[in-house]
Amino acid sequence: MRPRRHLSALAPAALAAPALAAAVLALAAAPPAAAAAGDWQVNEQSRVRLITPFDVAPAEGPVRLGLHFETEPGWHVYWKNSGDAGYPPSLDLAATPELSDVELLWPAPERYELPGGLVAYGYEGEVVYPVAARIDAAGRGRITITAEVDYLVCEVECIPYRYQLTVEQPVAGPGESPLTDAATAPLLAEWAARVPEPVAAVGGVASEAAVDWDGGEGPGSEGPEIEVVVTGAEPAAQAEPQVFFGPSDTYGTGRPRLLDDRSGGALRFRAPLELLSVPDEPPATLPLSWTVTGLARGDGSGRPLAVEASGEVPVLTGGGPLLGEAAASRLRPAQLGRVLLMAAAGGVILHLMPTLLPLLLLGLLVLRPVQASHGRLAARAALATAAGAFAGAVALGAAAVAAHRAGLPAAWGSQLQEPVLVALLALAVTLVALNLWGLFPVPLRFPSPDERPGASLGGRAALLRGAGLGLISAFLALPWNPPLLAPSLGPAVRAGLLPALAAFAALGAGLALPWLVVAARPELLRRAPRARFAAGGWGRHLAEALAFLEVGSVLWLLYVLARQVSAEAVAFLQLALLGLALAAWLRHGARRRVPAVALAALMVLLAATILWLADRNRLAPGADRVETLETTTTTGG
Amino acid sequence: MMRPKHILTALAAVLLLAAACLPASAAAVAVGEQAPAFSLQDLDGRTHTLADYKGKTVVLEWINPNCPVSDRHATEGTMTRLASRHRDVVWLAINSTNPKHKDYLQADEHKEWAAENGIEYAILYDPTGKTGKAYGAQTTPHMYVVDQSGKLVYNGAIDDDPPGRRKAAERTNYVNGALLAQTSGRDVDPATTKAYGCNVKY
Repeated sequence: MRPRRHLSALAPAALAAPALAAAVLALAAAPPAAAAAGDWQVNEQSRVRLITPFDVAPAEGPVRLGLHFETEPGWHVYWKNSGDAGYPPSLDLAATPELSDVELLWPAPERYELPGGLVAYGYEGEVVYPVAARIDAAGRGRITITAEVDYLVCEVECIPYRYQLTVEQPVAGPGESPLTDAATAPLLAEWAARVPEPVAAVGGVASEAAVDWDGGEGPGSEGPEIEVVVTGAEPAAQAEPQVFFGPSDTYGTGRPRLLDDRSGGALRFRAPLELLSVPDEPPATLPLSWTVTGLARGDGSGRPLAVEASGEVPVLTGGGPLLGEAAASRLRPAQLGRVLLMAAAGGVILHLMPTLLPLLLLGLLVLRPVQASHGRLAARAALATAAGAFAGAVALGAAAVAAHRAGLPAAWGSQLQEPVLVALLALAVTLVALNLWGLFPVPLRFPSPDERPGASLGGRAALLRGAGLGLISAFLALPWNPPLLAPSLGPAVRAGLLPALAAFAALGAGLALPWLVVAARPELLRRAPRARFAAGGWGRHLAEALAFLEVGSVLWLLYVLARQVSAEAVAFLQLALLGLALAAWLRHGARRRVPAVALAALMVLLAATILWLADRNRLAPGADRVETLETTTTTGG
Repeated sequence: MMRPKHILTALAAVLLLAAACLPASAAAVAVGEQAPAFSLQDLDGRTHTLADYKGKTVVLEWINPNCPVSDRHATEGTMTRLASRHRDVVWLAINSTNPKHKDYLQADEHKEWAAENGIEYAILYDPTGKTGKAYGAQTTPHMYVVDQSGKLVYNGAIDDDPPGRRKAAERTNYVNGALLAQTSGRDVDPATTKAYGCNVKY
């Protein structure tokens, strides 16, 4: 310690002059330089020291210290959640027995973008991490606070440092009162004020969070999202409200965005949730801690406010705003209109999908009346198809509402997360491919060359076939997620039964549109070339070629399934589809006429088996793992 | 009257548009899914693919010798000790540093560093960062364990001691735990942890 060194060096000369002695005494009696702050440990990028707010600390009770960093421009140290990389500083006060219950506190952080789309949360330039502790140093007079700090400081590259920091701290004797330091106490207080407060402790402010399992609306928001709502607080004048999430071992979070919707005066954030493990079904809750910064106190002072909260937040399905007043909304008329328009447009776009395009093209070619007088028959058949598509879409809507009420994910797109549904879709699409290859009679019936033109258009059979085609089209829309459907159908389903049915009816109208146009103007069909469906005809060639679109869709569905179930389950389904195709081919070549009902029965059998497997939970990934007996561990850790 | 040729041309155009309507699934792989395939060259220019090692457990380690955290583990031998203890496991290190970044090491310098640290397992270059992004690698080190069927079973940190304060024996090594769980048929737990280290220099 400097004064003592001087003392010992000057000791022999101290006897020489009283003035010198007085000076020495004055030096010895002066308080040690910066008693409330330890020495800086300095490196090229940063420096760090330990500070206390006291010139004379209380002997017992709660105290605050500070871990004080200063960094070069561009270099930062980390928050408790360092973000995508890095790690927060750690402080170890074990070498100071007088301090216990030590906790490092975290002032509200900033967000830093790193190359490669990574993000870091921390502090640049200067930060004091307040350290809460209890002191028990009665009768000591002075203690040495010794701490070990490990930290990482990063700019574009990162450098770890480890130092031992010390502070000599005088302690108040009996009857003495503590003395705060004029420099460090305000510094510590300023940074302590930046530590977010638990939201429950701030009057008039509340915050809730939930997970939207079906994801948000609009581009770039597929997949689950976290929604955070803060009520009772205004954005700060000079800062923008931001939300930060605590670290987790099981998930990461993407870039949050502040929504424009301020209904009810609430601040609403959304951030993508990136689960590191794929769960079999949505968890009921998610452990989450969140911090909202950039707020202002509501007491009129306008002082900055940051709040934090944590808990097991509910995981909800259905899409749309989750929390607060906006969540309970019935769709307002203007919104409903937009939803209906988007759903109808989505329905039209669906006809471009690989499962529906062949049915549309070939269905129209089959309907083409050879003679103009058959136009009315064609129109009736087209109307039946339109009705079938419409009814199918409404049935899907009813199913979506039922699923939503049962707590299952019900947004458009979430049907692909149900392995059983994906498997059934693969079966259905395979049958359509077989139909286009002429091996199965449903849904399209290609006119045979020796029948009278227009014979297939008349009668009840034609109407039934048309309606069946429409119904199947609605079902075959399920593997696809074109842009407009999810953002329109999700809120509609959440808003209630009638809005949901209306939205799906609009979808059905979009699906039915081409058929309605043909029903209104059957003469348009005569613009199409007359397709020859006899063997070798171009119509048959087209049908067989388009069947490959269906097969491609089956491959897509199998890929989706492979990400959700075990390899054995996928293999079983592939074998089932192969068996179905084989059965259809055998039936086609059989000399004795085997009724199509037999093939239909086979398909029902396969579907039932899949459902049985799902029920026994055999479709889950890992269900095939061989159980082994636990053996004693052989090698150490 | 529309000719068949026109129908097919229109069809082709429409299919290109329809491709936009596939549900998106471009997120990084999650534990429980099949580990993304890759085909990367090692320091000698030999190509390694994940399929080469099907049937074996594979550990992927994202490294950057110029990151002090990654380098510390190399100096301390954390990974090499683990690799030699689990001899039937394939250990691959992947360096996704952007060749334009100053951290990028040429093959000879990289071999020197590997030799200094006793690293005998293959070190692969991922200069485009495509493999790193497919796995969601964010830090160096970032560890992944792929089981014998090609499924990802662990994603996260090497251990629970980012600053490396504790002695090796006192740290919980998550990758070791994952490998032991694999050999005894138990579930890997924890299957995910928050990785620490410098950010990958994409």
